[in-house]
Amino acid sequence: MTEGTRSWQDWLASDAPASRRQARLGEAWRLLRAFLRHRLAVAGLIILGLLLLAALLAPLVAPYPPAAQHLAERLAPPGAQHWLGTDEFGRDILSRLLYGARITLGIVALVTAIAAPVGLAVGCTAGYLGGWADAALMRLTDVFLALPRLILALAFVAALGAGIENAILAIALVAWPPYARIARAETLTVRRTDFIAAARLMGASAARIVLRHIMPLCLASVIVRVSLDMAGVILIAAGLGFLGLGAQPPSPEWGAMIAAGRKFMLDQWWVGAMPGIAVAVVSLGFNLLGDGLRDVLDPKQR
Amino acid sequence: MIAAHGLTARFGATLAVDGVSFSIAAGEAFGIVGESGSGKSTVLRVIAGLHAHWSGTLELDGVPQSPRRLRPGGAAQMVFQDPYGSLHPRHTVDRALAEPLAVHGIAAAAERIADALADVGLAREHRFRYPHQLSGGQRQRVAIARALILAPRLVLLDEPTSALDAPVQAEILALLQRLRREQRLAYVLVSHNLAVVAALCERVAVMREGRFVEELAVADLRAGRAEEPYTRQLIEASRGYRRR
Repeated sequence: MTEGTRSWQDWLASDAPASRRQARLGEAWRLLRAFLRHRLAVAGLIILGLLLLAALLAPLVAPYPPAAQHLAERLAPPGAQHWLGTDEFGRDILSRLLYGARITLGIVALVTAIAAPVGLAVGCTAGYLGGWADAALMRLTDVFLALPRLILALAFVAALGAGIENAILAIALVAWPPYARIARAETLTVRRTDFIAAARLMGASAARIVLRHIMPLCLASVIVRVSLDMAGVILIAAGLGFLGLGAQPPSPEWGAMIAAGRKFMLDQWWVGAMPGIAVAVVSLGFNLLGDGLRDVLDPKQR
Repeated sequence: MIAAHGLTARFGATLAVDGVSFSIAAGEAFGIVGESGSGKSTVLRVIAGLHAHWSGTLELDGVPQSPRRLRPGGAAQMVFQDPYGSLHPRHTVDRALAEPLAVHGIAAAAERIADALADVGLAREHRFRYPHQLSGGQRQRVAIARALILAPRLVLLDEPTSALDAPVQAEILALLQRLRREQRLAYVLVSHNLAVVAALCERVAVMREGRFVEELAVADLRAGRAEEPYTRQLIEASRGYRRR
């Protein structure tokens, strides 16, 4: 290790940071080092990194356009021409999987962007305010939790109309209640602490206390839960696609691809199996990542 | 500064404070001693506006307060017993001190934070540390700095030294004494330790089962001139075990 690398590592690990930025980066550095010690989590991160790369670089690395049909080569088995084979319209499955990564990542990102803030806001507000606000918000949460997620998502999509945007909205609508529960539970453990009492005493408003003092403490548990839930979100999206209520053809959504492969399952297994393997691997990646994040972020285990 | 008459506070059905009356002048240091569960901390939390279930009359600066809207704002601040629980675990010292200034829209935060840290004897290198990078005594100094940064005239001290080791206790007591002299603060100090109260206060109330048993000057306490048997018992106990 050279002199230069030592000094920036010392700067990050410093016990006496000289600026806000150094303090924040130092804390991130400590978390990163704890995370890198967790081998399976790093494996999960690598899987997701590859998925992100595939999604970003799909036009460059995909051997064929995702919707290009070569009816002469329909249902070709995996080989030199088509690494993962072709489907019933002669479309290259590898290319479709690479483009499908964009859809999968888009679903995951949008569901997270909608469900996590909603759950966090509902849970922290209910937990901090208590009383009737808590009762009203949590009974609403219970209503959503009482119904199985896929069924509820199905009902929403059926009401809103089939399509990828409505599928995302439906999944987000069924995904937030567990985050609200977790955020509320975390909030209840901190709302009586002295540092929250001190914040009240300095005259901070309830909104400020919830946003700036309580939410950051609930965020870790919610992030962990979100990353563990992502596998479920991908499966629900694939399930909606499989039932024909999510992405519509010719969109290369993985669930829709599996549904198309069902007809050829016995003789041309690769048509359904390849997207199925993709779903399984990415779900595994999210689960491994979530496990690692739990070990690093969970304040109770520190 | 504070006048309380027949102050009564409840936790559900239990009566924690039972008709307590006292008054504290500006710049005065008033101590409340008593054993655990005597209700002394509850008196502080009522004054701080952190406990809403009380009745009786309470005036801050001559303004009558009501349980539903008791907002001492910047006039009264509190230092808590446990320095490990009174600082936000994810906020640096800088952030903890910037927060009250931001809430009250006070400008020139950077200089005030630097001054507040210097006042409580913390070095510049402590400014951007997280609580987990500080010792118990340093954390309590941060908590004191946070209480004082809004320039209050009354500071409520809830067993400010009891979670610290003996040498650190002495340092914090000396710090509190110096700050009071320099900034003309009024203190309400709650403690089970007569020595701590005697070191910091002029007047002491002895509390037992929610009531003030006796109120006396610290000089009388030191001289052992207590009238109530319970006070004598406390004084005796504070002298420690003696061979007969």
